[in-house]
Amino acid sequence: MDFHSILSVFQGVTTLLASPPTLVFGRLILVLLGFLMIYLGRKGILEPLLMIPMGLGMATINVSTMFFDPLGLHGGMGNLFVEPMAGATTDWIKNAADMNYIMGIDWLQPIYSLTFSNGLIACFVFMGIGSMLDIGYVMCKPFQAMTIALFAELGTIFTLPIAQLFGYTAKEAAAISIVGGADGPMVLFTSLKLAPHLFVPIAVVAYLYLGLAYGGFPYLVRFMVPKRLRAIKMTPPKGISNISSGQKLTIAVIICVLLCFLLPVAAPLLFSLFFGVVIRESGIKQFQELIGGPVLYLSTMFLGMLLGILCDAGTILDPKVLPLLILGITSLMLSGVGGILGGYVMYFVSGGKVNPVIGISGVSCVPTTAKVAQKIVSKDNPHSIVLPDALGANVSGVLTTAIIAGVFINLLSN
Amino acid sequence: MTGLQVSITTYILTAGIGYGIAVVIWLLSKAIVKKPKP
Repeated sequence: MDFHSILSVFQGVTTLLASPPTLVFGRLILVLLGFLMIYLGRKGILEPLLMIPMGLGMATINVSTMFFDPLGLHGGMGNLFVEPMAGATTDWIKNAADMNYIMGIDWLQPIYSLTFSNGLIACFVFMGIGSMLDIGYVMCKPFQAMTIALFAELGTIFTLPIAQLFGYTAKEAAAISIVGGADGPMVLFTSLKLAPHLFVPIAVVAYLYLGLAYGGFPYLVRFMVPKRLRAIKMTPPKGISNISSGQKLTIAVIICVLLCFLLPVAAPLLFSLFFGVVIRESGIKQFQELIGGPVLYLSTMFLGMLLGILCDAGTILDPKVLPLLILGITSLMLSGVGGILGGYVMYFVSGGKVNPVIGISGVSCVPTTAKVAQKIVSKDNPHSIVLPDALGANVSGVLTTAIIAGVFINLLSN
Repeated sequence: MTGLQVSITTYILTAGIGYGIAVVIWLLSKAIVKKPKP
């Protein structure tokens, strides 16, 4: 028995030694990035629910490569976690055979193929989000909420032509630009419809930046809004306590049917979101606890885990993926700037009564950006309550991103 | 359509649908939400 035979037992080491230097460097960087994500998640700087499973997945997958490539897709090296390229050829019979074969090998393949790549997990997350949404905040000030949400889509709108300058096709550019909507499930859904070959890197970049942007948005707000304006006192809208759950339910049902009628292509996501809202307002506690608890958290856990596992250096170091890192952050930052501009518009329209900080909550991750707005304002004026207005803009942001996703898919699918 | 045209068309449609929904919500709220008696 020679040294090479012993070394072949430790295939993580031998595959690393057999890889080109750029890939080895990429793997080591991604392992360190995974450690950093776990650390920042544990410290509460980034969202721990996503960052800890994602960080562990990212660090592990980049050291778990072995001489195993059952579908012959990666030059003889692979892993036992998931094969995202299985079933992606134009030969349907081969696809079916490959899927059947790989499902029995890779342990996360059933979750990936049956919930991730068809958008089911995105719909589950949206149901959970819906069960936390109170549309009463939109009902109080619908025009204010919608105006801020529309301004906060600046990144989504402008990143599309910018992405085309980087050489992406219109479909790919639209899938990338949806990152500016700051809505993870929507990013998954749109990229699956418009650019399935870029689905993995776009999803990874989107969730990575969503975690980072919420740490960065407070700095953006403080840069764009002076302390005098951040301290503007707001009180909760007067009519909010008069709205009954039956009235919220009626409006949720009508808006759901209306939006699905206008945009059938986005209907799965819209239905899922409003399903959560309707369950919440109908008072079915058992369902509300189910979709707002186990369904949402199980989906989030697998989402984070799979996103980390999909961060294999071979995928991330693709030359077509690197510009996504620039475009993703551009899109999110432009949306943040747009949202704050929307906040300023409402400040001027209202004659100085609206605190422009609520603009950041038009960037639609519910309820994180609304909480960010309240936290910033509370530091400068502990008596100002902007959360209800911010949540209204937040909910409208989810709707505008869903509408944009539906319009993009309709315009570009033909 | 160029990327810019797609963006502009999308934004106009989104604003139209968005404000349309805002109008529906406002009208329904006016119709079904009862104001408290003074």
